[in-house]
Amino acid sequence: MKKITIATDWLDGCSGCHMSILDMDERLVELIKMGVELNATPITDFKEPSEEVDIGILEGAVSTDHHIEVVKNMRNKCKLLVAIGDCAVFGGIVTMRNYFPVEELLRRGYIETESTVDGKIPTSPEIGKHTKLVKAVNQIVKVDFYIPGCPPRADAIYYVLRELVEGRKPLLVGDLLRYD
Amino acid sequence: MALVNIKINGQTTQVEEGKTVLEVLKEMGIDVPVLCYHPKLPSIGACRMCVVETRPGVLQASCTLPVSEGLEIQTDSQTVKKARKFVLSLIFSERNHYCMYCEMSSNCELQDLGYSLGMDHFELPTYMTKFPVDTTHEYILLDHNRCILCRRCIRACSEVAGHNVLGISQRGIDSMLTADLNVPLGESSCVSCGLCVQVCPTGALTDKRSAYLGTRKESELVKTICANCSVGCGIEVYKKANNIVQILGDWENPINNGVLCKLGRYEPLSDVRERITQPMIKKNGKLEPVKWEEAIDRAKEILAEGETAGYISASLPLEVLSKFKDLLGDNVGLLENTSNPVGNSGKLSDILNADKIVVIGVDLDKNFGVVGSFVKRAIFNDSELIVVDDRTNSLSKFARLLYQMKDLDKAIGNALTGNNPVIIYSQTDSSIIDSLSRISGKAKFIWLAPAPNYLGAKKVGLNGNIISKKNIYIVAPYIDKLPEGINKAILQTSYYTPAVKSADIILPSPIWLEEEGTYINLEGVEQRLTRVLTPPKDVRSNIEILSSLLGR
Repeated sequence: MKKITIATDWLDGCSGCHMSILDMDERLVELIKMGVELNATPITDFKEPSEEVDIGILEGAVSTDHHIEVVKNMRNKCKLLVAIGDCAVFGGIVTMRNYFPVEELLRRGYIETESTVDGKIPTSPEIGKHTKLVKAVNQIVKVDFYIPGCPPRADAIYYVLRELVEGRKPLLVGDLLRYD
Repeated sequence: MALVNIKINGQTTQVEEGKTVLEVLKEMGIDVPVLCYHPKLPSIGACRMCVVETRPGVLQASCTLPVSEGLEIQTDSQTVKKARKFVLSLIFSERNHYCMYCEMSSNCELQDLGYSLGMDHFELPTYMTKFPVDTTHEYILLDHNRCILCRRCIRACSEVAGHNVLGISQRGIDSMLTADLNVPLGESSCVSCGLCVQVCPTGALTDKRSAYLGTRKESELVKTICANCSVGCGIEVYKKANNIVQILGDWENPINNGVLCKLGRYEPLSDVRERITQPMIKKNGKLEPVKWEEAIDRAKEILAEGETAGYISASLPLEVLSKFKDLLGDNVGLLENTSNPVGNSGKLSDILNADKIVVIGVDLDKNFGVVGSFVKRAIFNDSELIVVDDRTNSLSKFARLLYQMKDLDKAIGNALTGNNPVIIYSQTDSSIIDSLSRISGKAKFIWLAPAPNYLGAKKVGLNGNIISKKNIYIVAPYIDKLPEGINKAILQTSYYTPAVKSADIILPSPIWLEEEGTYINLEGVEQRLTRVLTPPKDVRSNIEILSSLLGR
């Protein structure tokens, strides 16, 4: 049986969407029995997707230069790209920071917060540099399927993956299409 | 009504002339998405969600398009579907429509359309401008970031409620919902009727006091009437776990047609007065909680002396008023006693048809908001307002003529030059009554009865002055003071007040939202108050208390 490889990664998100992936519970096993192979995810040992995967899944909005790299990397490696959660799909709650300049955002977050003493804005090259505006994934690369929701329901993720695994085009309707 | 032939999706059908295409489609059960359209507001065709195709490639808003002979429309063509989705994506691309942190999520018509049209991502980049959030109003939160400029609130405020507070300033992408001449909502001429919130399809206008109490969808709806004043407006109460989530005006009630005032819409959600939740008896000069049986027995002992005068508030249901009369016979008086020899000859709807309206000594915006709304709507349609008042009156600025009380006769004289004068008054001072009696029959009178069920009290034969007795028994939800020189006082009441301390027996009673019964409003219309909330555990209904005192 030919494996269907899935890789996931997260950007500027809260990992809630990945919790929804886990929330598929025994249906994850079902998908694996159907031939799905979880190639790499932030919540497994392997983090870096193989050179070629069938389905790439991204959670979170694009907020730093690192995120742009991750998005482009995933797009290059996967045949189908699925954006999951309001942040990846629309920009979501992260876009709140678009109302402020990046400098103000960092100053507020690392120095001026009431609970912070002797704060410092981190400058390590390991940490991505904030872009001026937060964007949805489809503003950077082409996205093939969208699962909005904050977080998306496990049912919606399962439905989309199952449709894709079985070679159909998913269409979210009813309770599967939610923005909250 | 004349009929015209129109073709809908290829099917010929006969429909009544004078209707809009949207009305016809709705009647036929054809689903048309709408956003700026509201069945109770005049249509303006602003949002273009409801477009239909009238000729290939020609789209028209169905909410403003009247049916006409030979009209052909497509409601479901690819052009229509594409246009509607495009309109929706344009609306979502302006301002902030991220649902996940919006309090109105799942209570929002814009979100519902996103779902029903299958919008699973944005085609257009979002517009990243931060708009102000106006928190200045006591009851209403205005978040411009959520506003889609559909102008429902403006039409509700001006054409339905008559207050004309809201409008649009600027043009195009800079258009902003504005109160008065661009002042914060809390500093504007807004009278807090809340109709704008009731019609807002998104989270732009929300009730502060309903925030985070739960959505309307997950609440239980009870239709009842407001028992705060004698107008008797129909209200829709949304409740959850015995708490009020939100109160809306009942569009179907013929008295108020959806319009409410601050008292009906917000007062019950703002009530922080301390409730009495158990029966009490004064022992050694101090009120102490007792069991109901003990309180009833003690009250019976006092009543058995035959030296008790009863006073009851005409804010209570007819059944309670009548039962109290059964208990104490002729020794019962009304707390809100007054006389009204002129009588009511007008309905509130007569205000809308009046060419001259005289308002005597009452500030309608403050005390009878919905009547004020009727008057303002009439002014909007060119009726002339004459205000007679010695104090400042919020309607003065709309008045054609202002008179002092001493010139009442002059004001009335002017009113009588009209064809359909309506006179609105609340006081019953003999000077006013004398003046009004002289023109009896020449104008319609609307007397603003002083209590929600005042006419109900009159119907059961309750009148004013009674002989004062040794003891007193008062039934009213709120009692602020007791008469002097009383031996024993029984209070059947809901709230703690200074008067409660000086009473001898306290029988805790429900507030109006926990009551049920019949009310007769100032027009003489009989309506049913439906129970909305369950009273606290040790509070008994007024009827139950009176029945146990009657020994039944």
